[in-house]
Amino acid sequence: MKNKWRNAPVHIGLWITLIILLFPVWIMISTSLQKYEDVFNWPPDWLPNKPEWINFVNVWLGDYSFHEPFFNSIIISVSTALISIVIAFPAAYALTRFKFKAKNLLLLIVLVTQMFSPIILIVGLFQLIQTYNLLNTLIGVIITNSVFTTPMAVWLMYGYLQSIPVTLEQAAFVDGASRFKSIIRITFPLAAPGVAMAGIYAFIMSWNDLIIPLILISEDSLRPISLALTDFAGQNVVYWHEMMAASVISTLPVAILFSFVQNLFVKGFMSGAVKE
Amino acid sequence: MSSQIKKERISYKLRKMVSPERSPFFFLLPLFLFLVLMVAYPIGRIIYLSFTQNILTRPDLGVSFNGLGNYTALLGSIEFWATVLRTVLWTGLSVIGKCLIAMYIALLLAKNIAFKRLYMGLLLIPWVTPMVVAAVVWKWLYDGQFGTINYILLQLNIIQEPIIWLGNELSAFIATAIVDMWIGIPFLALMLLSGLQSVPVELSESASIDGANAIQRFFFITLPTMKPIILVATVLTGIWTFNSFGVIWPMTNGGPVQATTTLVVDAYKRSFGAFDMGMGATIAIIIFLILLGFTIIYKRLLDRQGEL
Amino acid sequence: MKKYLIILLTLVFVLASCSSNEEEATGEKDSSKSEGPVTISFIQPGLEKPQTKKAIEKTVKRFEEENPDIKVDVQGVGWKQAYQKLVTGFQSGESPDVIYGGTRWMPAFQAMEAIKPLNEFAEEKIKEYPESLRSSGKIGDEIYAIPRSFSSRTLYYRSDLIEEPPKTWDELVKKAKQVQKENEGMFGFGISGASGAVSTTTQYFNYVVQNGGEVFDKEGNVQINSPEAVEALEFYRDLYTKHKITPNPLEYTREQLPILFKEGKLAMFVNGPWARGIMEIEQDDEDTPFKVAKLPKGEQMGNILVSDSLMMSADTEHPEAAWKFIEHLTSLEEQKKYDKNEGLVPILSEESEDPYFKEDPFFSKFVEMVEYGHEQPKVTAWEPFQDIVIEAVQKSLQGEDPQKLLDNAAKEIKKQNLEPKQ
Repeated sequence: MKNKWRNAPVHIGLWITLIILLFPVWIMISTSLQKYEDVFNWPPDWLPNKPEWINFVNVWLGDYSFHEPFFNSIIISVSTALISIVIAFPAAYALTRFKFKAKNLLLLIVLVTQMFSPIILIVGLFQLIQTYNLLNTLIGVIITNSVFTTPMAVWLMYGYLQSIPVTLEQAAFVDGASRFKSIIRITFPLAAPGVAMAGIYAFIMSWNDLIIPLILISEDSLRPISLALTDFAGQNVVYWHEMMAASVISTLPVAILFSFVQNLFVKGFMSGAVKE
Repeated sequence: MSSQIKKERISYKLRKMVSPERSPFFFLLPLFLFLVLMVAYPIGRIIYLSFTQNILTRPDLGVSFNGLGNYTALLGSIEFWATVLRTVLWTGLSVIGKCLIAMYIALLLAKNIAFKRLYMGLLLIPWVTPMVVAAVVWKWLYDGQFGTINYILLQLNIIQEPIIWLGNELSAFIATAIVDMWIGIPFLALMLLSGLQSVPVELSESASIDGANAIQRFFFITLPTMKPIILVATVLTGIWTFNSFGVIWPMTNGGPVQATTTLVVDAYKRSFGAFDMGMGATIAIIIFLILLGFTIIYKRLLDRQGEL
Repeated sequence: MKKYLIILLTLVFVLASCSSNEEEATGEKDSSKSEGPVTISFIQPGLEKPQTKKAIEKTVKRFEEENPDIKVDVQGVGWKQAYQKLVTGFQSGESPDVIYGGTRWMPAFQAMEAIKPLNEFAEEKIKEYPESLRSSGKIGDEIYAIPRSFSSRTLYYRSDLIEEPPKTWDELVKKAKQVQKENEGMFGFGISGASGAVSTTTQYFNYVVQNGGEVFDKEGNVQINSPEAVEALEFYRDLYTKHKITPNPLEYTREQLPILFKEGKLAMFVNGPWARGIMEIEQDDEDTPFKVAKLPKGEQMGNILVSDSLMMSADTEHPEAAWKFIEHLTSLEEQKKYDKNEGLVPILSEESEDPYFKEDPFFSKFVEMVEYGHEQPKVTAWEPFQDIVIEAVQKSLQGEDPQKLLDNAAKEIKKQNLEPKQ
């Protein structure tokens, strides 16, 4: 019994912190369930007395057809994650399993690239995407996103692969397996948490990004959520209730998805970025 | 005869060079191609632009090569240095806030308690919130007339009349930093948590037997053991904060006056507001150099950690 | 290794085929250009408003029915992103055939040679507009922009609290103070001074022209630091700092004022006709009864007419079709529908004769204000100019000296060569 209560202060501390941290999220949810007229009520309504679920229906299917940007975002984020992994995994493998001269330089380049904010490169990238004739295509956005997610993916998987002992693979070599086979059978499965973590990182980064689609996409039907969200703040008026409904739609699925894999992610991230 | 041997040797070497069994060539090829195709060009382009005068909307002023002109003009202007100072202060404020709060959360979560997964899941919500959304929600909370923050502070009698958070230079500066903290804290907290969990329990236990209290244990045992992780996490956070744009721009556009114009916001304003590509690129290069400095520090920290 | 390569290749292939599908789709459109109907693209910011979107879709449909050989592809973009998007697009030769945007953008677009002079089509058309608007779309004798929507300003006031609307600056201050005293928690007046918003400049310029000043003179010399303009800024500042009759302007764009008003936090504010649409209430509403009146006079009556226009891309392959579409949009019938739907001031001279506008107690006031209209300054690039002005306004609201601020602003405007070319 005593043990049970010993941790009470910790729980209370956590609850207070979480309440403060999640307060904006709560306001987002409660505003999304209000009528436009009630949004400006003073004092603010903490709980909408009659939740207006219709806001969500309107946003999803109605005038804003938010399902379109939502699925665009899913395509963009999943593809970005896949591309990042496909490019980054072999590179990370090479960086940990081979010795070569330019290794340190390459690592530094990867690190520096990871630190760019898209704003710095976007001017050049725009012209590049234009040259490749990829303006106004999802693939253009995906490739550009990958520029910013791949280096981090290399870095994260590099760290993770380092923590996997080479001896296991060597055992496979002794058995006469080719390098490729040993990767497929041994290294990749062992590195799966690291790979997943890099993929999730890429997914979330591209899910959140605004600048790249802003510059590259002008076709309505191709916009991702971040861009579509800017719609609700019009020239003259902000539709707070519907905007918040759209915000809930864009945040919650990722949050729920993420809560399932968070342990994996944090572990992988730490061994990648910090080398435990 | 000997030439044939030579040939064979060359082809053997070549094969060895590209053989996936022995050389990293094929493994690095995709990354290499990608970097060359997608990164080298934009960087080259930015470097070139930074040496030119090129205002897109002002063809009347002409496009010309002006050497280091942009750099001297920029480095010679007081506004630029004010922006640098502001960026440093803003980044510093946000990073310190993030570190303190994240450490507090990490310490709470490090205990072996029930519902840990639930707490961690809830904690991460701010981090997965798209920045556009975060900025919008917070702008709403900060609103001078309808904002909930004012309402609460008024109810608690902490303030007597509503504060226009985003309408004063100092309060806007702090308000934007708070939002940046809000987004950054969860992730940093988890990084620190995983660091805390790597502190051997025996160390702490033996200290407690020696009569050290919780605070002493934290400062003399936990912190020093965690130092490398704290350093690395702080540098990473510093870099991300330094780059923060998605929070400031939608909330304040860099205003009021220039109160929230950091270097990144300034670069954006010049490149996409005034379309002064030359100056925008020059600032981008300066940001690049600063980040390069950060990166080298980060790499050093990691390498030293590896030696330990 | 082979397996791996195959996986990689398949992925690339799959992704590539995704994109080529899209290209095919657009390719079909392209090929149809040469054979059947031509397709022109039209960009209109602000389509996020469902009401506007529907109206535009309808008018496009009517156009396509009348002109079966022309298809219109409507593109939307947020107002905040529009300018940036268009300029980046021009730079790379990506631009819609018909562009709807702020008339203030026209000089920069013209300088970039991104838009076409329309004289061959528009010599007659332009005469359908009131005098003050005709010149706004011109550079020299060349017509570049056809006005599409514009607005004058009036004073919105709470008719239950204010019987006689103020007629002069002094009365404005007095009335505002009085209402404020009588009503706890309400401000007498509202002005705007937020960053990055066009409304901050026009709100301030209204007082400049009312004070008999101008931002640029006829020859295009900067007059923003003239005594009249400085006095206007002093007055604008005093509303907040000395008389304390407005909430902190730095937080507000003009679009937020109607909301404050509706919620009973303001007794008066200056705005265009759309404010009624934002509040979603009619005059003499039960909870928030309001009326509109002519603006309070300074030295004279005046207000800045802000307009948006239709422009044609210099790269368009179908200028005739594009012009036909512009003509359709601005025809008396379509324009009337548009203005009514959007709650805008009638823009065609003939349109303002319509009883809907002329006899309406609400719209008639806006029509009256048109007569006192001044053109928005046609600076060579709007965005940097706006930044300079806003900085001066914001700093003055924070207590710095208007004369010094406007001197600096004038210097900066000259340094960047922003003066309008006449």
